[in-house]
Amino acid sequence: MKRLTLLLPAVALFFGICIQNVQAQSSSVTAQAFAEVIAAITATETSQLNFGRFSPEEMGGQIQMSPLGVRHSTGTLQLSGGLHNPAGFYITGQSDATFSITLPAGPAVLTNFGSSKTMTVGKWESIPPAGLSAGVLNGGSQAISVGATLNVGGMNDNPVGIYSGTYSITFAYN
Amino acid sequence: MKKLFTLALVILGFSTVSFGQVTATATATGTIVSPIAIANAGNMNFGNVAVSSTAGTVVMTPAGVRSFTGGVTLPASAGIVSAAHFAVTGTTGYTYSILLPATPTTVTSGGNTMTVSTFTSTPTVATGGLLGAAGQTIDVGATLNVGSSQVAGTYVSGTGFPVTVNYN
Repeated sequence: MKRLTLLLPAVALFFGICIQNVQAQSSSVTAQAFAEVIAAITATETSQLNFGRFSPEEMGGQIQMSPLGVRHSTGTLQLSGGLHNPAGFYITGQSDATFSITLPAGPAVLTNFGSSKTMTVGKWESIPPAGLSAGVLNGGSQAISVGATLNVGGMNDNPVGIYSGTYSITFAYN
Repeated sequence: MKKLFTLALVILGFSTVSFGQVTATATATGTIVSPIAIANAGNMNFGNVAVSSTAGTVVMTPAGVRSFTGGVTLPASAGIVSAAHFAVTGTTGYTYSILLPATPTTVTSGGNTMTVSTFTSTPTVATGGLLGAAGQTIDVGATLNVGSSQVAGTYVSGTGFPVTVNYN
């Protein structure tokens, strides 16, 4: 008798081989931040605008003080001797920085304390001239001169006395 | 008498025995992509800043353009001004997300500090990035918060600010 042999085939199981994506998911780096805060701009008045002594006489007139200190009068006004000078300012700040000079937009009023009489100062001018980037802080500083024109009335409008007032000039980095 | 042989024929039916098994072959594939990497390609410089008694800010766009608010002014001699730049490399065609700092970074000069906050970028965080053949550059701007009468000096960040990118 023949023996029948049942051959059982081998069972092979195939498993799916999965390869997952391998990747570096994230990356991080740091960077630096820099800022330079420059020295504050400072302005110091080194001399006060002084039109000096004068007599208005009958009609008054004007006294023009140039930034270079040249004083000139018009009208019946008579200039006297004594101290007179343009305004002087000393500006300091970041070396080689430029800055703007803004002169008063309108007239300044000088008042006599006792009588409350007034005179006006206008037509401001400066050396260097006003404007954007007008000044340069060579070596960290610059001197500015400011002149103006004083409007004087007759003897009755402006009696004897000392007249004083304030005005503002702006210096700004730009 | 004749013997009858009974032949029992045993018929063995050879049936195809089905084990419920089928052999198939499949292809397994895996794609290894280049790791995404980000490197510093330039630090952030706010340049020269002039201050006053009023606090203010300097805003730098990712394009490196400055503007100011409050009591801050930007002098004509600007100094070194640049947005931060980062070089991102990885696999061409892949998109990635950008993560900018959520908290401010402090910049210090001696005992004085200011903060840098509100980081912005090109491409934006909302858009995310897309890697070209040469990777991609991310430009980052921010806002410098300047205090009232901030003391003069060169302010530098300490540990710096982090920017993170992720494949998505």
